[in-house]
Amino acid sequence: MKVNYIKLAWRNLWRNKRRTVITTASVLFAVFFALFMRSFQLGFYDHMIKNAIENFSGFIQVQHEDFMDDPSMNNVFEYNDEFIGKLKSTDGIKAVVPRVEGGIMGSSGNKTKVVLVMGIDPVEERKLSNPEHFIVKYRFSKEVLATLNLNTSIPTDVRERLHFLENRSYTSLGSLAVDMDIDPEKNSKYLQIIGESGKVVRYWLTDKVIAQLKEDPSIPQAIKDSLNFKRDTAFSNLKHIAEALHIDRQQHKVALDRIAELSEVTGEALVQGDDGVLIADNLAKFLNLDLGDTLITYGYGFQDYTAEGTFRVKGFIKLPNPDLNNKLVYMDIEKAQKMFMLDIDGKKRITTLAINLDNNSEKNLHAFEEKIAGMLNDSSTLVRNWMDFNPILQQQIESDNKSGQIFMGLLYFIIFFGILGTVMMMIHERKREFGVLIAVGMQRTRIAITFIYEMILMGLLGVFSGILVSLPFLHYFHNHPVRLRGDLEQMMYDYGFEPVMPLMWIDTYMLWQAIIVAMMVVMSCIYPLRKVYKLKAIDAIRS
Amino acid sequence: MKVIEIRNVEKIYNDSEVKVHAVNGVDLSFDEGEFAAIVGPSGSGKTTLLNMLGGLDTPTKGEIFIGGTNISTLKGSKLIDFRLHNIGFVFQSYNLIPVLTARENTEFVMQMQGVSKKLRDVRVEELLTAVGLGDRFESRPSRLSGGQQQRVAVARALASKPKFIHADEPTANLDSKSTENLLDIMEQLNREEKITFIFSTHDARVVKKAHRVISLEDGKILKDEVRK
Repeated sequence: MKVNYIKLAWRNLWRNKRRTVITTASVLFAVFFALFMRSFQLGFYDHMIKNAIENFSGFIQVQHEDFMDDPSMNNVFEYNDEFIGKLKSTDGIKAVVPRVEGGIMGSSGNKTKVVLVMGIDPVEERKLSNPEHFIVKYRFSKEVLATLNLNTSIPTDVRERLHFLENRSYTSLGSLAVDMDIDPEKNSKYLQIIGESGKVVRYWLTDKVIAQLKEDPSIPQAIKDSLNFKRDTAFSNLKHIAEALHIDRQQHKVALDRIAELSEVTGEALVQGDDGVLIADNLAKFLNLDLGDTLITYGYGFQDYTAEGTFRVKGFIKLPNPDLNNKLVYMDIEKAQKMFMLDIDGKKRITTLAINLDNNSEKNLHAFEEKIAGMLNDSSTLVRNWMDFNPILQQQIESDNKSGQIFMGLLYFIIFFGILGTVMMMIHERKREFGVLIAVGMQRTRIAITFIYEMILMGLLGVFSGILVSLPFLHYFHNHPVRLRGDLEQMMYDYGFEPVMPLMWIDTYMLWQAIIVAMMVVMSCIYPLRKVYKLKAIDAIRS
Repeated sequence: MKVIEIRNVEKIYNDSEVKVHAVNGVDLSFDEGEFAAIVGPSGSGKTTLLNMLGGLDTPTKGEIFIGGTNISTLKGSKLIDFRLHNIGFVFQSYNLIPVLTARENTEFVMQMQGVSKKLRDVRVEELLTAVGLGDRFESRPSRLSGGQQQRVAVARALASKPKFIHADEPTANLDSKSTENLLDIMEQLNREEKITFIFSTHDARVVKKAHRVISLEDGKILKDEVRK
């Protein structure tokens, strides 16, 4: 049989244009809303996974077998160059990062808090959590904002948005503009002014700085002598330096400017063997720590030795995960090993080997989990994936996903009945025509196929129009994530995530929408087509 | 040569509790190339008889042979397939496929039969020209008059080279000019193609043209008159 059923179906579709358009539109809107909602959901999961997993813990970790239940410094394993070398040369593995992760008391002045120390290799860590990227450059207190509010060189509409910055820290002027919801290009001049006021800066008289100043002929000898007493001290501003050195600011302006120039620190990344630490922004605020201040740590190390240390704050980091923002301290891995006594017998022990993969699909994750497990040469270690060591995130995603699916199911259920109504109507209207077709020799199966083609074409038309209409929206909100404010923002912080809702861009979920709608359309044909199969040609022709 | 044989056919409708003998013990036969009309008042059983001949309805009793095949025993897809290859239909309301052009409507049955494109094209051109629609090949039914649509229906019925054409009141919706025209065409095609035409009709003009007139009353043959 060589009838072109698709052509016939397509023409039949346009016999009643209005009905086809209405049905197609209902599918279009269903797909549009479903895609939008699904894209929000998946984008948010992606965002959570990116924050908590890809940019922090890694998708896979090698740990001591007991570390997950008891994350103490007794459940560590030896750093093995050969094993790590093998992992690094394995195709599909993007990063292999050794870490020492442990809790310890962190103290400054009269404030103490349990902090999470993460000993990192500053070079290797760039491939994973990349702390440099999160170094805070700007901070805005109420006082800074009050001064800025009086600055008439900034337009009123920009000044009206300054309150969004209150008590917040920023790693770039760009993120500052996002929070203020202003165009960074149009307002670059004002952003510079705002940034300059909120700049994180301190003046740190290190040995090196003092040595340089002593060589400087523009600095009077009396000041050079006073510098000896302020060795390794950090100051918030020039006024404090002048007071500490007992000099007049106006009289010794040149000398003060030179001191400021050489001693200015604005937050620096860690380097290998660094003595300093990067401290999470909120933790720094809690402990009243400023750049150049000292963090004192005290706790238990390897084999319950005492772990202690003093570390200078080199910079503040603002992490996308607010929970970490309240407790994390980055330090050089060797310094962490030393503090926790993990190098007591000359061995280099670590708590974690974090691994990221090129492809993060669940299937690939499990495949690599097995592969890496086969490469382990220390029987006390094992391989875990992120769902093992972060089950809460996994459960959050799963439960949210289920509720989303139920909502989508309801949406499709409503649309299904809309389509079913159309199909029934079409069958009823064309009863006589089907009777004639059966009479002239067309098998019922062929009529059914043509009808299903019609419905699939209508469904696909709706699905593809829906996808097409949703693409610009998805693209926009993918690149400009919705930033949550108020209670929602706080709720997101409480959950431990940055309060943004990015949308997922094109992915397989779109294909699934198409498949679901196509299946729905085919299902809606089942009952009406039973009628076609039972149709008596003679009765249909008489109808 | 006998194309159709009807042996003691009965059709009983069980409406509510009343049995209606629509066709009551009819014996008939038609030769190849006959141009016959079944006439009779409403309720005489002419349409029922024609529908049974066309395999659209099944007799309660008796047998119907078309080209030697007892169609009373055929069911489902076999019966549909039999109709496809052996019977052409012309309905009162034309019943063309509205989304297909005159050409496509005519070749539709041949497509289902699996006739090659080349042969289809030749046959379609031949038939549509024969019914006087040589210039309306690409017109859809909505662009054709009632008479023109019925001529396309005739072309469609003949396209499959059936053993007979089942024509149920084909002129009922046509004006006299179109009726004359259609009957002339059908008579000519009957002559040329040697295909049997059986009409069920009230129309005196059809009866006038018919070569054989079978009169029914109360489901029985009253008269069977052969004119030529």
